[in-house]
Amino acid sequence: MTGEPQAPVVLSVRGLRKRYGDLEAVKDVSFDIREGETYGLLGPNGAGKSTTISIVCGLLRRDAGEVTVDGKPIDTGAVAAKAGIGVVPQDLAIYPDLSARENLTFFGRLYGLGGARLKSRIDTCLELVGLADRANERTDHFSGGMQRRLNIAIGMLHEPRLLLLDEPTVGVDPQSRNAILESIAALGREGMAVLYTTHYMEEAERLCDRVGIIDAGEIRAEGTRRELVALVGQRDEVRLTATGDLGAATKAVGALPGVGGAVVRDGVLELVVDDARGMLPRLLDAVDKAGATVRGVDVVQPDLEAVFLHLTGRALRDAS
Amino acid sequence: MIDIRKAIEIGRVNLLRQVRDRSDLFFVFVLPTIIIVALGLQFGGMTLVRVGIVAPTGDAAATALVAQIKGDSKTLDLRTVATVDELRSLVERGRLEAGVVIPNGFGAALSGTGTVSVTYLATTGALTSGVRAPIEAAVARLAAITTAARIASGATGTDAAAARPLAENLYDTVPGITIDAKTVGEAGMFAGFSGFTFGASTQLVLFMFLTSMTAAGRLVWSRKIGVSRRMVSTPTSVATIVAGEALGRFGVAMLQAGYIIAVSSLVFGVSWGDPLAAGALIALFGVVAAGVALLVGALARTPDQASSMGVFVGLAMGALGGSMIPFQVMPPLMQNIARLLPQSWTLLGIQTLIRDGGGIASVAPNLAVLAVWAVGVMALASWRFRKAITG
Ligand SMILES: Nc1ncnc2c1ncn2[C@@H]1O[C@H](COP(=O)(O)OP(=O)(O)O)[C@@H](O)[C@H]1O
Ligand SMILES: [Mg+2]
Repeated sequence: MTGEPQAPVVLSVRGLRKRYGDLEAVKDVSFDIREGETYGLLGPNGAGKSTTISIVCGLLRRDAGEVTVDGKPIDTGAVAAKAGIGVVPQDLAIYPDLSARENLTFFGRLYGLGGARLKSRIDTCLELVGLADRANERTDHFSGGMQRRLNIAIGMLHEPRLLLLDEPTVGVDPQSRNAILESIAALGREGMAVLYTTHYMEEAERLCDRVGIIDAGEIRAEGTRRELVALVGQRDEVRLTATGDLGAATKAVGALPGVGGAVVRDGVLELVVDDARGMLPRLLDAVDKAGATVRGVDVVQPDLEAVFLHLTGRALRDAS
Repeated sequence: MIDIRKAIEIGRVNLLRQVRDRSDLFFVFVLPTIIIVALGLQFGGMTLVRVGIVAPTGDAAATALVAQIKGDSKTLDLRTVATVDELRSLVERGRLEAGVVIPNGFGAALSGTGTVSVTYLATTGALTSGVRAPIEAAVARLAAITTAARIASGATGTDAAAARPLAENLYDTVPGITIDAKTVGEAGMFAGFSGFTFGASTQLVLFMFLTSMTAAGRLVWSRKIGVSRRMVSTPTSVATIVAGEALGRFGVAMLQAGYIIAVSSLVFGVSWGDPLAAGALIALFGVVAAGVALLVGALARTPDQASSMGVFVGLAMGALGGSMIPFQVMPPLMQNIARLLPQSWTLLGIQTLIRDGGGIASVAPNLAVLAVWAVGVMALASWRFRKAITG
C-alpha cells in the first residue's frame, strides 16, 4: 500500500446477512468502497451478488449487518438517503413503450431532477452511452445492447455518489460491452464510487481497482488484482487442450498431489499446480490413462480465474 | 409521506403509455361509441321525450291540437304545465326536453282572420329537430284546415265555424297536404335520442371500469420488468409510488369518462344533468375503478392473468350493476346484488340527475356509498400493491 492519503469511504458494508428460507444467500459480507474507486464483486451465478446489491440500495430487507452511504444508514425506509445511490439492475428496468428520453425524464424526476438541469443531464448521459441520435425512439425498437446502455444511463443520470451496477453487460454484443466498460471507467475517474458485479473475470480485471471474490454468499478474498493473484502463490496455471473423456481426465488429474484445482472449460482442462515444469509429465500421463488425448499445453500467468479456482476448487463460469 | 409532484409524474407516464397503446384505442374510443349508437337505436323508440304543454282550459281547438300532437307521435311524453314561466324554467333546467305554448283564446283566434302563433321552446338544437317534427306536423295540419276553412268562408260567404268541420273532413282526402304533414312527422332522425342517454350512462359505467382494467395488465408488466422496483430504489417513498400508480389508473378511468361524456353530449345530445353532482359521482366511481385495477395489478402474476381477471371483474360487476340490463327489469335477487355494487349506485345516480335534475343533494346517498367503496378498495389495493413491489 502506498502512503497517499486515502479518499473518504462512500459505501461501507458490515456483516451483511440474508436468508431466503433455508438458503443463506449472503453470509457475513463486509467491504468498503472509497470515492473514485471501482470495486468489483466477482463470482458465479447464485453467489449472492444481486442480493447484496438489492440490500445496499435499500430494496431488500437484510437479516443482519449495516450499510452506510456517506455515513448515512441505508435501509428500505431510508428514502432521502437513496438520492446518493444510482442503481443499474441486472434485469432491464425500462419502459419499452417510451422513448429513451422519456424514460430518462421519468426516472430523472423520481431522482428529484427537473428543469434545465434534468435536460442537460439527459443530454450528457445519452451522449455518454452513445444513444444521443436515437433518443426519441421507443426503446422496444432498440437492440439488446442499446437497451442495456439506456439501463445504465438511468442509473447515473443524477450523478450519484455511489453507482451500483449488477452485471450490466450480460447478453451484450462485444461492441456495446466495450462502450459500456469505457463509460463506467470514465465515471470512476470523475470520483464516483462504483460497485460492479460480474462473473466475467476479464471485466473485473479491466475495470476494477479492487475485487472481492464472492462464492456461496461469502467474500473469499479481496484486494487488487496483484494482491489476489499473489494468493495463488508460486503456483502455476496450466491449460491442457484435449479431446476424449475430459470428465474422467479432470477427475484423474485433480486427484494428483500438488494439483490445487482442475476444471474443464470449452474443451480446455484448467489446472492450478505447484510446479508446472516438474509435474507436466505426470499430468499428461494421467490424462492419457483417463482416456483423453492432449493436443496442446499452455503454462500461463495466473489470473483472477485461477484465483477463483484456487480458492474454491471450481470454475468461475459454469462449465458448459 | 406522499410527494405529490412525483405521484403526478408517475400518473402522467401511466396515462401517456395508455394513450400510446394503439390496441387500446379501439376499446377506449371506438367500441363504446359503437355500443352507445347501437343501444340508442335499439332503445330509441322506448324512451319518451318529455314535452310540456301550456294550453288554455276549455278551448276545444287547443284540446284538439294537443290530442293531435299526442296521436301523431309515440315518442312524446306530453305533460300539462300551468304557466308559461314554469314551462320555461322546466325546459331551462333540463326537466323537459321541450315545451309548447298554445295561447289563450286560441280557438277564437282560429275562427277570426288574424295570425295565430303557437310557441315552441327548447334548449339545444339537437333536441329541437327531433321533437319539433311531430308538433310541427300537428300544427301544420291544423294550419291547413284553418286556411281551407278561411278560404271557403271567404269565397262562399259561409260562416267560418261551419266551414271548419267541412275542411276537417276534406283534409285527409286532399293528398298534397296529407303527405306533407305525415312525412314531417316521421322523419325526425333524433326522435329516439333519449335512447342514447340510456346507452351513454350504462356504457360510461361499464367502460370506465373495463378501461381501468386494461391498465391493470400494464401494471403487472411494470412490476415484472422491474420498473416498479427501480422506482423503489429512487428517493421516492413507496406511498408516493402507490399513490402515483393509483393516480394513473384514475386518470385512465377519467379519460374514458371524459370521452364518453363529450361524444354523447356533443354528438347525441345527451344531457348529463348538474355538472357538479355528475362530476362527483363519476370521480368517485373513477377512484373505485382505479382501486380495483390497482388491486388486480397487485394480485395477478402475469399481465395476461391481470387482463382476464380484469375483464371478468369488469364485465361481471358491470352486468350485475345494471350496465347491460336496465336495473328496473332485473329479477329481485339480482337487484339486491346490484344494490351492493358501486356500478348501480353510480348509474342510478346519473340517471336520477338526467331524469329529474337536481344537484349534489339529490344523489347524496349514492355519493356516500361510493365514497365508502372508494376508501375501502383503495386501502386494500394500496396495501397489496405495496407488498407486491417491496416483497
Ligand atoms: N427471492 C428469492 N427467493 C429465494 N431465493 C432467492 C431469491 N433471490 C435469490 N435467491 C437465491 O439466493 C442465491 C443468491 O442469488 P443472487 O443474489 O441472485 O446471486 P447472483 O446475483 O450472484 O447470481 C441464489 O441461490 C438464488 O437462487
Ligand atoms: Mg445476479
